[in-house]
Amino acid sequence: MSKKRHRIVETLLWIVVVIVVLWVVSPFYWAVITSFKKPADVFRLSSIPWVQFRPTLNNWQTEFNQRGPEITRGLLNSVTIAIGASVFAVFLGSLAGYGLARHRYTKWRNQSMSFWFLSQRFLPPAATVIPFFLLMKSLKLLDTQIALILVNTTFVMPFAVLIMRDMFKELPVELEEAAWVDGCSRWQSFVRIALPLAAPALVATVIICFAFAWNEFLFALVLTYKKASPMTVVIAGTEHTQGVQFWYVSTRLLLAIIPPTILALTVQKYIVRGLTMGAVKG
Amino acid sequence: MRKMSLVLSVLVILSLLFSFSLVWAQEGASELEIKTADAAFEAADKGNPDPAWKGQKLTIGVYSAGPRGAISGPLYFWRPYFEKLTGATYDIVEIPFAELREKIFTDLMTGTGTYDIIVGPSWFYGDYISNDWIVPSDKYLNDPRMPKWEPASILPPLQELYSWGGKWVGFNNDHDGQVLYYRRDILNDPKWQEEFKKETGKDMPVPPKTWDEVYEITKFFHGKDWNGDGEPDYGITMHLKVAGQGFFHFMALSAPYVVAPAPGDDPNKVTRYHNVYWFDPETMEPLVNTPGFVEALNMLLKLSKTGPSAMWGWSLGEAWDAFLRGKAVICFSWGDVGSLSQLPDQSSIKGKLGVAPIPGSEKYYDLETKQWVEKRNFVANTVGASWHGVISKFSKNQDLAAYFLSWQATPPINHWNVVWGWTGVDPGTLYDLLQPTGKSTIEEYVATGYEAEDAKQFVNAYEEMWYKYPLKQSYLRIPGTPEMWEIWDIHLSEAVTGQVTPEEALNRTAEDWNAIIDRLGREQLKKIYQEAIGYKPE
Repeated sequence: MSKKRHRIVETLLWIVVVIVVLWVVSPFYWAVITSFKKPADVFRLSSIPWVQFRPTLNNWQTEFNQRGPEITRGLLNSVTIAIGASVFAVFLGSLAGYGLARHRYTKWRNQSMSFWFLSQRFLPPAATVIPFFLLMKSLKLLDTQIALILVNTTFVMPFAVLIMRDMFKELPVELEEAAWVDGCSRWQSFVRIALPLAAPALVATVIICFAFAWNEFLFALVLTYKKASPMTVVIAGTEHTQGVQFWYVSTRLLLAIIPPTILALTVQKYIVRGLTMGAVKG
Repeated sequence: MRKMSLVLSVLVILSLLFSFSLVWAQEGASELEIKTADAAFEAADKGNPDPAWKGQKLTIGVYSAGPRGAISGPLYFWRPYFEKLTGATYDIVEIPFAELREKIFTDLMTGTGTYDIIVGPSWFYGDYISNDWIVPSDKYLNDPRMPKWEPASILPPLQELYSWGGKWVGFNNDHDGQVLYYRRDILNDPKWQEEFKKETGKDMPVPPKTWDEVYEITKFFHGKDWNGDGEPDYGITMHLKVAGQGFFHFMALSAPYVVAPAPGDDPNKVTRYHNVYWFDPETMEPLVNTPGFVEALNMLLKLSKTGPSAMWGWSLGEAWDAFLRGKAVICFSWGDVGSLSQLPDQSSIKGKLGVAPIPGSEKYYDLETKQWVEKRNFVANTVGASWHGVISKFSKNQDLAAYFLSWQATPPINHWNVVWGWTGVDPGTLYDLLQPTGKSTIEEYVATGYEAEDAKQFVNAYEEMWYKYPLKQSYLRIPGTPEMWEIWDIHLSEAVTGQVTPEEALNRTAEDWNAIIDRLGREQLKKIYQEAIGYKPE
C-alpha cells in the first residue's frame, strides 16, 4: 500500500471511529446535560453548559428530596433482582450446560433440548405475563423480589445454558478423566475441575444475565406495585399527564447505569476472556 | 477485590444519600403551603371517623408523578393530616401513565384487590360500570361518619362526568376541560392590531370566539417575529404526535361543529339527533365520519399549518413549552397550562396570559335535517381525565376509603388543591370560581403565586365555558373507550400528516369503531352508552 493510500485509509478509519464514538457517547452526554437543565431549557437545542444554558442542580436536588427513598428502593431492588436472577440462572445453567456438553441423551436428543432452551427466548414475554401474574398471585408472591428473581431466571437461563454448554464442550474431557482415575466422582470433577476452568465464562454469563434482568420492565411493572419495583419502573414513572419529564428521566437513568457500569468495568477482563474462549482453535 | 469494594462503596453511599433525603422530602412544602393547608384542614368537615379505623391501612393506586407532581402530589401532602384525623394511613402506589390501564384492570379483573382506591381517569368508567368493579359514592353521601362534600357545587358538565344514571359514582377531585390560551400582551398590542387590520381588513377579534377567528389570528402571526427575538415565531402550538394525546385537541375543536341544540324549550335535551357526539344512540353507528367532523378536521388541518411542522411529532411537553417560552401566540389545552405559565423555571409569559373559553363554530351540522345551520355554536367540553377517586369493589376497607375520598372532596381541601397549581387539580366548582358567580377571591390565587390578571382570565374562562355555555359535549364512557381513542388517534394522524384525506381518515375510524362495537356487543354497548349520556328512547 502506498504511503498516500495508507494515510487516506487511516483518515477514513479515524472518521469512522469518531462517528461511532459520537454515536455511542451522545445519549450519555444528552442525559448528563439534560439533568442539569431547567425544564424550560430542556426543549431548546442547547448543549453547551454556561454558553447556551445555565446549568442547575435543581433536578438532582428535587430527585434527592422528593424521590430519594423510592430511588434507593428501586436501585436496591434492581441490584437484588439482577444478582439473584443471574446467580440462580448461572447455577442452573451450568448444571444443564454441563449435562448437555458431557452426556449424550437418546430419548430427547441434545440438540432438541438445546433448541428448547433457546426457544424460551423466542417466547414474547407479553404472552406469559398474565399466567405469571396469576401464578404469583396464588403463591402470594406479588410485589416481592422473589417473584421477579424467579421470572427473570426463567428468561435469562437459556443464555446461561447455551454459553456454559459451549464452554464445557471446549474444555478437554481428558482433564476430568484424569480426575476420575484419581478417585474423583463425577460431581467432584465438575466442581473441582470443570467449574474453575470455566470461571471466565461463568463471569461473562453472570454479566449478560445481570444486564438482561437489570433492564427487564414488563414483568417488573405487572408483578410489583411498590415494595419490589426496580429502577426500570421508577424511570417509567417520569411520564405522566403533563408529558415526559425529560429532566428527571436523565437523572434517573444516570443513576440506573452506575451499578451495571461499575460491575462491567470491574470484571471486564473476564467478559473478554469468557466471550472469546474457544473462538480460536489450535 | 479492590474494585468490588469500590462498587459496594458507591452503592452504599448512594443508598445513604437517598435514604437521608426522606427527612428532606417531608420538608418540601413551603411555610405558606403548610399554613394555608392547616387552615383548610381546620375548616373542612371531618365527619365522625370510626375509632375502629385506627391502625388500618389503605392502598391508593394513582398515576406516577411523585410527591410534588400532578394528582399524585396531593396524596402525599395530605397523608399526615389523614393519619392525625383517623389514626389510619395509606400506601400510595404510583403507576406510570402508559401502563395505568393494564395495571388497574388486571387487578380488578382478577379480583386481586391491591388497590382500595383508584385515582384514575374518567375514561375507565365504561369498564368500571359494566363490570361492576366500583362502589358508587352515592352510598356514602348521607353517611354521618363521612365528611360532607358538595356535589351540587361541581359545575354542570362535570356533574355528569362524576355520576351515572342519576347517581354519584366518583368523589370530587380534578376537573378537566380544554380552553384557549393566548398572548394577552401581543393580541392587545395596538401595533399588532393595526397591522392585522392592514393585512386582513378586519379588526383583530380579541379574544377569538370561533375557530375561524382563531385561524385568522394564528395565520396572521405565524412566521412573524412578534416576540422580538430575531426569529420567526409560531401562530399556534399543538401536540399532534400519535399517542401524544392529540385526539383530545380534535375532540374539543370538533364539538361545536357536531353537537346540535335540541329544538324546543330545553336546548340541552338529549335526543337521537341533538346533544349527541359519539354515536347514534339508537343504532350505535359512529357519528365520527359525519359532515360536522369532516369540517372540524379540515379546520384542524388549516390550524396545524399555522404552527411548526415539528408539532406533528410533539406530545404535551414540547407543545406546551413552545407557548410557555413565548414562541407561539395561541394554544388550546387543559388547566395545566394556566398553572404552569406561572412557574418561573418553565414559563416566560407570567403576566402576559390571556385565556378564553373553548371557541365555537360559525355553523353546525344538524343530523336530523342533514343540513348545515349557519349559526354560531358554543359547546363546553370535559375533555381529558378529570382524575378522581373511586372505591374498588374488592377493597376490604371500603368505608375508610370512602372517608378519605369524601374528606379530600370537601370544599376547603379540594379548593386548596386547586389554588396550589402544582397539584394538577384544576378548577371546576363554584367555590373555585371568582365572586360574584363563585365564592373564591382573586387574592386566594395571588397568594399562591398567580399573577392577578392571569388568574382572573384563567378562572373566568372556565366559568364561562362550564357555567354559561349553552351546550356541552358528552364524554365517552363505554367499554372499549381507550381502544377506540387509540384508533382514532392513529387515523387522525394519517390525515394531519397528509397520508389520507380527512374523509378517508374518519371513514376508517368509523369502520374500526364498528368492528370494536360488534366485537364487544352492540346491544350491550348501546345500553351503556344511552345510560352514560342520559338518552331515553321515545
